[in-house]
Amino acid sequence: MRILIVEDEHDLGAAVQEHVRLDGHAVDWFTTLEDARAAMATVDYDFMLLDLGLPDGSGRDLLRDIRRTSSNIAILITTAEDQISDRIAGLSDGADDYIVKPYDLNELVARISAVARRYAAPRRRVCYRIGEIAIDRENRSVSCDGRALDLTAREWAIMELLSRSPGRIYSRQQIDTALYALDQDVDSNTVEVFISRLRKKVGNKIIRTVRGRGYCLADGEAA
Amino acid sequence: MKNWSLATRIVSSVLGVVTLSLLALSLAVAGFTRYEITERLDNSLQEVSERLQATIATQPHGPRDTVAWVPDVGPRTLAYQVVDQYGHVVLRSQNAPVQPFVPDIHTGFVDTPRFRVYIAAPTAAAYRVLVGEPTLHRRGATWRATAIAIVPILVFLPVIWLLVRLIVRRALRPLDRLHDEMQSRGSGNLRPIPSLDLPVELVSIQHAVNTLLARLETALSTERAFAASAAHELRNPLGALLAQVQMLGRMVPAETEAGRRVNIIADRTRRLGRTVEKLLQFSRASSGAAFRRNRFDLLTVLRVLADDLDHNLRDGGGIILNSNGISHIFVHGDMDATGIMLRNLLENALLHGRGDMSVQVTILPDGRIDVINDCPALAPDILARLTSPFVRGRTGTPGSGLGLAIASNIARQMDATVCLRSPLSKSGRGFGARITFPDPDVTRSPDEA
Repeated sequence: MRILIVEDEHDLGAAVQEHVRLDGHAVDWFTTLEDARAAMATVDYDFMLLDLGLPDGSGRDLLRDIRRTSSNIAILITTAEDQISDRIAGLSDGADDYIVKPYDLNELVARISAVARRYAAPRRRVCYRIGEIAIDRENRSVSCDGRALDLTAREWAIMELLSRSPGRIYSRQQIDTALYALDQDVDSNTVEVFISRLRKKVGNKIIRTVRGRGYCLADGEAA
Repeated sequence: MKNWSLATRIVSSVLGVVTLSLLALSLAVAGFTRYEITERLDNSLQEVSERLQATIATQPHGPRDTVAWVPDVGPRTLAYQVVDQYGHVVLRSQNAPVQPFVPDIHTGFVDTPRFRVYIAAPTAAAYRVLVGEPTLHRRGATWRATAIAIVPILVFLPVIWLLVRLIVRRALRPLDRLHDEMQSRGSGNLRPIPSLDLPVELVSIQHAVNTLLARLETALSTERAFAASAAHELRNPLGALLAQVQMLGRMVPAETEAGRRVNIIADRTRRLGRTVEKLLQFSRASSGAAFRRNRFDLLTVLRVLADDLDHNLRDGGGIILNSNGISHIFVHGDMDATGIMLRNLLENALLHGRGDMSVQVTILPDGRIDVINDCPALAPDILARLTSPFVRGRTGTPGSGLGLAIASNIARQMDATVCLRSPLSKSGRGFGARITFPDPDVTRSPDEA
């Protein structure tokens, strides 16, 4: 997933960014509302970790603004505001979950997964099968004839993106966006490199290249 | 001590003083009237007697005990006797006795049971005249004069009472308004008392109360702001510390000495975070935050808390919320303080309950809440002390020992009660907390109603 972190505590933001990135997500981290709004204007994020007390305002304003639009981004509030009224207000404003600092990074990642599953469940197939290959979105795993395949975080990120809507064509730009944060340098052929590696693991027929347009998963069935 | 009303006390005091004064005045008037009436009647009696004496002295008399018939003689008509030198009645009015009024005839006034008699001074004649006024007449005159003085007072006393009461009540109306305004202050209402068109005597009280309310509001706000600032200032660096330590832990193999120490730091940081949380809660509970009164849905608070704790603290049992078909429980209190109270009760149940058993949260039909967990029974003496700070149910159990003290303190401020029970059944196991809010407004789900 492409995740946006809005957190003004540098030591915390840096650690969270690194931890979530190691979990296989593309993560951008900003410390102000203004920067976060600018990033959202250019990138289509799947998930946001939002601090409430920010130098240029309250994260709650950004939350309300986002929920007034048609954006389908999942939002998890990460804050030091620990009162039940803050929590209820945050959830009422449209946050999907609320976690109070100090939090365990593993718990944070678990919560991100839980919220992401809730978002995925109604509109996407959780498990998809193409021949012998099974893609389990809930457990973030790919298996071949029942044998688990060892995918790297980037490889899984591509598979996760393509399996959101099997058959839909995703452009190189879209895959780039899902793979890399704004502060990362991306080579022009990086997507092709990862697609190639994936094909070696899952087979050439699983990921189809649509010339001039992008990539998509081959026809399969929901399991 | 029995309460008393200022208005009643003023009315009764004023009325008592007025009544006593009027009575004393009436008695004085009655006494003076009686004295004056007696004097006037005595003068009249003496004058009649002396004139009659002068007249009788020149008149020849017939046989003894001659009755002089006077027309229209009534019980109040003067009676007279003419007595010779031997004390025999020679002439009398028909209402005078046959025998002389008094056996010893000396000049002056004499009282008999039926008459007040005046015996005129003797003249040259051998006859003496005794004129008697019926006591009934004199007593009646005195009573009438006294009644004229007292009865109007007795008649007007209730009117006076009503007027005094009306005037006092009207005079105390500003005090009542001030009283009502002051009575509405306290439980969450620390707004200054508005202008009430008070008399100068009460304006100073109003100013003093407003000053006190402003100081109290400032003090409470400062404490709340301090707790909020402290939460921000403590939680952020603690969060950063824990996150950095965890990232460090990913770089260092866990089986090495460095890895072991990193784990110790991470554990200590987590524990420090929990301690900070409890101390912040304890500070809020002690700051009077729960004295505020706002209407809120208790069930929403409970659901949010149960949801938060359920997927954070447990891999196993978790929390089962049984709302019994109730959709809302509106209560008056402070939502944040209630959140702290319920969180502590739920955390206590999760912490001390059996790991593989769920914590049962049940909403009773009358709005009471039961939080129940399975555990060995607690001894009665420990149960009685559990709401004291730093008291733990069993030695060696984790926890700060503050949770139930915080919950109990907040409940007290909100006029709610937390009743602790253990064991819960004949099996001799279990621990339960029953929370009762004053006047909960319970709404059932439409399909359950």
